[in-house]
Amino acid sequence: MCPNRSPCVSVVESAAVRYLFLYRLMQRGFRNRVLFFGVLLVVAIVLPLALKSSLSGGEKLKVGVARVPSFGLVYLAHALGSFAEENLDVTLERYPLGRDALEGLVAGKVDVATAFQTPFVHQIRAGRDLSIISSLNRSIRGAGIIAREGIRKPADLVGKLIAYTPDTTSQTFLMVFLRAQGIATKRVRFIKLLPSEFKEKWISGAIDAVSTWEPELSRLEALLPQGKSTRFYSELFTELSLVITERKTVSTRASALRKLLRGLWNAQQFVLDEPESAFMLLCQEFKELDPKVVRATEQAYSSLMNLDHVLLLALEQEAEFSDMASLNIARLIFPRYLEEISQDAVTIFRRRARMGEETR
Amino acid sequence: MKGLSLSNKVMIPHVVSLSILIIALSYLLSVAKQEQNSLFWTTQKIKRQNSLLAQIGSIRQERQRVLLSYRFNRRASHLEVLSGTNDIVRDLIEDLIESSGSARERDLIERIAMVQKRLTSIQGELLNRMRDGVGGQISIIFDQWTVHASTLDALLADLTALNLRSLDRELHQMETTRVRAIAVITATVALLSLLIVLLWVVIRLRLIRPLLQLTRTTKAIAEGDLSVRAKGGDRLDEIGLLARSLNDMTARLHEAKTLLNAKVEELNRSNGDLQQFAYVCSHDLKEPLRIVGLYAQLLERQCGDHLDPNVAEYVAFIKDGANRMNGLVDDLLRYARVGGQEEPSMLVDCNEVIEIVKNDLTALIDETKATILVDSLPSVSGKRPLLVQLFENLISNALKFRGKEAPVIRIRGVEDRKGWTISVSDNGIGIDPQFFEQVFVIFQRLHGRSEYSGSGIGLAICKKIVERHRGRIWVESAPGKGSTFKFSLPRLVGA
Repeated sequence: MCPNRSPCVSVVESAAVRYLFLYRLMQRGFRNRVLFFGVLLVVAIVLPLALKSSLSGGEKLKVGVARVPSFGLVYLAHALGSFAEENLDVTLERYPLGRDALEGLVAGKVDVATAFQTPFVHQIRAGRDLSIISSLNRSIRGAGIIAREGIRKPADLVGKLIAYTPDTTSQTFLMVFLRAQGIATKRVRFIKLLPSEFKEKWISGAIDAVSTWEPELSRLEALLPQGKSTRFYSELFTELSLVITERKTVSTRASALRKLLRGLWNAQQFVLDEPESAFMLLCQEFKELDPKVVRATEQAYSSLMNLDHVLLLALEQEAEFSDMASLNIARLIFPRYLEEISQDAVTIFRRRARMGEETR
Repeated sequence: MKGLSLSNKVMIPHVVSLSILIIALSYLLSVAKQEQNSLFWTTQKIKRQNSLLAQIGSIRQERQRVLLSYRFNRRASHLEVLSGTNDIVRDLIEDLIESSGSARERDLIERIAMVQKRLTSIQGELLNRMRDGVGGQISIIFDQWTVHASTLDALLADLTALNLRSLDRELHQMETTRVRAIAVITATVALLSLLIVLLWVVIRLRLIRPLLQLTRTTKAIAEGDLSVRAKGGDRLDEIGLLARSLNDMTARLHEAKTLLNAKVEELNRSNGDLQQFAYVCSHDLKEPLRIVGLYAQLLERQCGDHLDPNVAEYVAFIKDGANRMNGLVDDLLRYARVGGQEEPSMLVDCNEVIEIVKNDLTALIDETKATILVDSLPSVSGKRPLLVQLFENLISNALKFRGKEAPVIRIRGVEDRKGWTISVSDNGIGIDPQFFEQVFVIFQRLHGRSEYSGSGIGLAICKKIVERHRGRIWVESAPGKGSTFKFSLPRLVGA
């Protein structure tokens, strides 16, 4: 070979030599020819598949998720390899709260975030252009108030110091609860705390009650002797965990979002088919929590990936509490990807749902 | 395929086509029926559920309206209305549960039931508070009632949407089925078209073409070419069988024709020899007869009166014998000539022939004072001299064997299916039926020479002439009642 030749020429030459070799092989007889065409056929079938696999396998998605078992479906899907099965490379960015995960989404650190409805509506109020592509689960016993000894009924909360985490469902729940009980907000005292700050103030008796969610409720309950605390729930508040992304991402990462939802849907099927195995996996994922706490959280929430009128109602309620009663909730929901997976999962009337797509 | 019979070759594609058609139709009917059933039950269920949902929704609104009215009016009738609706709603929800299908539906209905139960409970509490007149609490509980009522509305809307979904699915399924049906019909039509084309090709190649070849071969054989052979004799089907049979038949025909030709040639040679023999015999026989007759005359003339009466009688016997022998030889010669004449056949008017014969026999007719009645006779295809001789022999025969009365001869022709039958009837002495065959045998005589002259060859010649024309001659008669000689001539004679 001439050393001055370009690499391109060398490649062509090498291919020609290979071709000639194969051609000679072909000339050796029918048997060789059959072998040659057989190999060619296999290559022709396998190569495109391999290429497709290698090209599509690299699709990446960052998902911001709160480190709480109520978003366990995301952790479960990841642990089960449901995303990988869909050729989606999901990186989980763990946040202490759904609110923080949503902040991460807005800041562009993640592509998708999971959060409850309160931080979502607050972000909308702040002018963020977000879309809900599915719910993960819902509960009327996910959020609650735990009160220390001496507070036996809701009316006993009057004059007490109640802690809550701002811009989270704990805030909305507290407001809904107080209104339902006919307790004016001015008749109680509030303190804004992060969940990580609850423990110390709770044990020390600095706060009388905490509005929070599972597993914090169970954790706080466990910190006091049995019977020394009381829980209050409100059937008027439904806590929703949502899969949220930026509106622009809905169209730019359509394939990845579809795969994400399919992965989550498969994980949900696993939960429905094998609840105990799912619970075991969840316990492994949340080793820092007592399995009883994980169980309590699991029981409080029902896995339900859907987009329905109850979700609309809960969001409308949330909007009302956030002084955004005129907000068109349907515009914030993008149902198509979930609908592609299961038509029955989307029961919002088309007229309302379509609005969300038109504004994209 | 090669070993299949022709009927199987034609039948199998038909059976396959029919089977495809039946399978396709069965599939379409089955799918259509299935879809129809599915759609029917889905619509029935949706109809029922929607009716129940509408009733529940309507009752929910009615309750709200009544609650509001009661809050201000406190009429007992309102309480009755509310109490009544509880049972109705419970029944409606039970009906809903009965009609539920999927897990999602059941889940929704269970939630509806739960919310409804809660609404009833809140309603009870609300009514108690209203009765107690605790104003602040009423608003709080009313809020709770409103939230639950909204949840109920949302759940009802979800169930309605779910029903619409299932209807959508059914319609989509129907559309899919329709597309599939079109595909099946198209595929079936394409497949059947292909089969028809294939069938046509098979019929064309395996049936029509061989049959045309066989037709050509048969035509060639009919035209006399026995050397040709049909193709396809190696086939195992009916065509092969036909070709083999045809070839076999042709081979046999060829063999028979060869044999026939040899026989005809031999017969012709034999006939020629026979005629030659007859001529030769006749001419050669006549010469010594003439000498015998001549010398008998000379002897009679020279010796005349000197001859002993006995000798004179002997000489007279010799002369008479010679004359008779001469007559016999002439008759024999005439008989032989019938077979040897090679005149071409032509259309001969029998009326003209009769006129010729009457002309030839004028003397005898006049002598016997005979009457000859001739009906309109046909024109026939034949040899004119032979026909003249035929009629002459029959008429002269009638004149010869006349009775005591003057002879009346009637000649007529009757057309029948095969051709013409011509009869010559007379009022002569008649013939005993036992001699009907004998009269046509050469030199056979029914009467003594002294009674009627002749050699007994006339009717034999008639028979030979008629047979030369491919006809038949026979006689109907009774002694003393005249005779009718009939002969048939085919429509086309003497080829």
